[in-house]
Amino acid sequence: MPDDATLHRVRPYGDHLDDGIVQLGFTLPVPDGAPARKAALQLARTMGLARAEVVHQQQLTPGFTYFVLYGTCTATVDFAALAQEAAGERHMSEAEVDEFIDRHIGRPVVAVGASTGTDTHSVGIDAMLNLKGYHGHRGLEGYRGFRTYNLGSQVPNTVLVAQAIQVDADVVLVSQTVTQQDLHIQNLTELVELAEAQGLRERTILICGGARMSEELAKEIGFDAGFGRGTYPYHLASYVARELSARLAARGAARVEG
Amino acid sequence: MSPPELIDTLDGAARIAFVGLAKNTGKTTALAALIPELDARGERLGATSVGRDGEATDVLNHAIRKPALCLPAGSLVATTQPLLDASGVAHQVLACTQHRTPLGLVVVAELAEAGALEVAGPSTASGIRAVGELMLAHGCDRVLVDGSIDRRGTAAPSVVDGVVMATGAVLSTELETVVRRTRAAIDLVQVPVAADPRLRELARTSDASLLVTGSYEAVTVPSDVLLSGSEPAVATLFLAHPAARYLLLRGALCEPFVEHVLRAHRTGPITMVTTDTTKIFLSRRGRRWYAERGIHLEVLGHPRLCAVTVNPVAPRSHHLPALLRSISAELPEVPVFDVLAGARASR
Repeated sequence: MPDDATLHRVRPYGDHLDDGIVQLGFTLPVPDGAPARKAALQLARTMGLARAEVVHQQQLTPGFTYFVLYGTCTATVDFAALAQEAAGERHMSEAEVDEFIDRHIGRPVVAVGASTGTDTHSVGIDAMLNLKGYHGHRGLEGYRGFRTYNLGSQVPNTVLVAQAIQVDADVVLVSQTVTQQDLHIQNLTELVELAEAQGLRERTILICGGARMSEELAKEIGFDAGFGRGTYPYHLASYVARELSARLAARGAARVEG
Repeated sequence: MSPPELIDTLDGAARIAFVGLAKNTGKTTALAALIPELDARGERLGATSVGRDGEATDVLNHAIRKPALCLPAGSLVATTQPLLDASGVAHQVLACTQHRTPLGLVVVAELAEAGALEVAGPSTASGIRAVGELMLAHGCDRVLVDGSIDRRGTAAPSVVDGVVMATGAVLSTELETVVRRTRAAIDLVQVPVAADPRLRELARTSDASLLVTGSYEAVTVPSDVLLSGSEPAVATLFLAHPAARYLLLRGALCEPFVEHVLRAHRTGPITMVTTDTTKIFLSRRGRRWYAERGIHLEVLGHPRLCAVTVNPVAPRSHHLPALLRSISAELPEVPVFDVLAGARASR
């Protein structure tokens, strides 16, 4: 087992610790032969592999050659920092979330969700909100600490915002399939602008989800958080409980100062 | 006749928002080109973004390269602590804010050296207003607020004093469509300011939306009717008040509501007044189309439209070489600039 210092600069393990040896397999669209071998070696060196050698080479079909190479990776990665970061944002289980909400918020968290605009997919929002959940993880509807409203799919932004105002939502969740042709992006930015115009933006946590969603994209479209592929309801619930608790504390502090 | 340079259109506007009609219209390119010019005039700059700026590639299409945000030494910036740290630019944090974003907590910092960095400020209009005021209080002369995608929430009179609008070929492959959509968007940011003092007094003293007659008798309108009311609900409202001449809105003016009013029974034209242009949501028809049908729009105030920038290139798609000329002809009242020509000149 590597020591702590080594965990700050981890390299691949080949035959022994810290040798950096990797195995690489790829196909080049060139005929088998000595020039093909040279090309594969040059490519591996360009990728940053030291002491590259071809250990296997064969023709797949005329004009295509498959290679297996060994080489030494010269880069390192700071695993310790990543592990520490992940420990800081450990997700709570369903029971822990409910207990956290009891202790720090003291009332159910109101969540309104929908697939908006022309998006007909409701699978994402259903997985997060509905009792049956996803992969054996119950949706927020099953949590004692949440009161949920799932408006379904193809919901106009105006209807979502009106519903959020009516039930005094703490959280608005939107699920949307984002494409490169950014058709759906404009629908998401419109929701943000509409929430601003109605005075809802400041007092609501706006979250969007979708397979291609990232924190960077969430920031650009103006949401408070974005959840992408691999999200389970307890990830979402952990974030919402902590964020709402932090906001209520900040508001309380502002009130005391004011 | 347009002034010779974009920089000459900014006089008197200490806080300027760069707002685009879509992604990749050239907001950041325009902003980035202005930075060295304003610096050369001796201005101390403050920069922030309602989205995220200075990133190397586009968040949706990594093949599209984005302009870097290079700030001179002594500039102020409102961005998140992790992005400041990642930039490697020497800086001193002047203030921590309460504004949390998906990319971390927003701080206001002074750069000890010139450098390129990613900027991600608060995501809300009130957050942008707060960091803008903070940077001015710390002695900067000019606050530049970059927009994001097609978001225009920062173009409110409480947030900024001036707006630079960015349009470009990315809106459509057809020149006429780009020109028509730009005309409609510019019409919206130039909605006339309500002059009637009695109407302004009513707006100042009411917390609710009001339907107002020609003799200034007012009734309250429930906000859900304005936001998501059905056609019968809107028709019933106007059946009860057919002589209404004004509608004062506290929140958003949405297109479905305006369409319902169009079909409702009325005895004359009506003027709808919102607090500012960021509250107006018209995407199907322009302001002029509704005006021709007896529905007029006014606002209580808006920031000055300083200039329009045009990007004739849609990244990795097409080029509309005649776009600058067409937009200039369509918008004789506004200075219009080619954002790429500006960027070239500044290098």
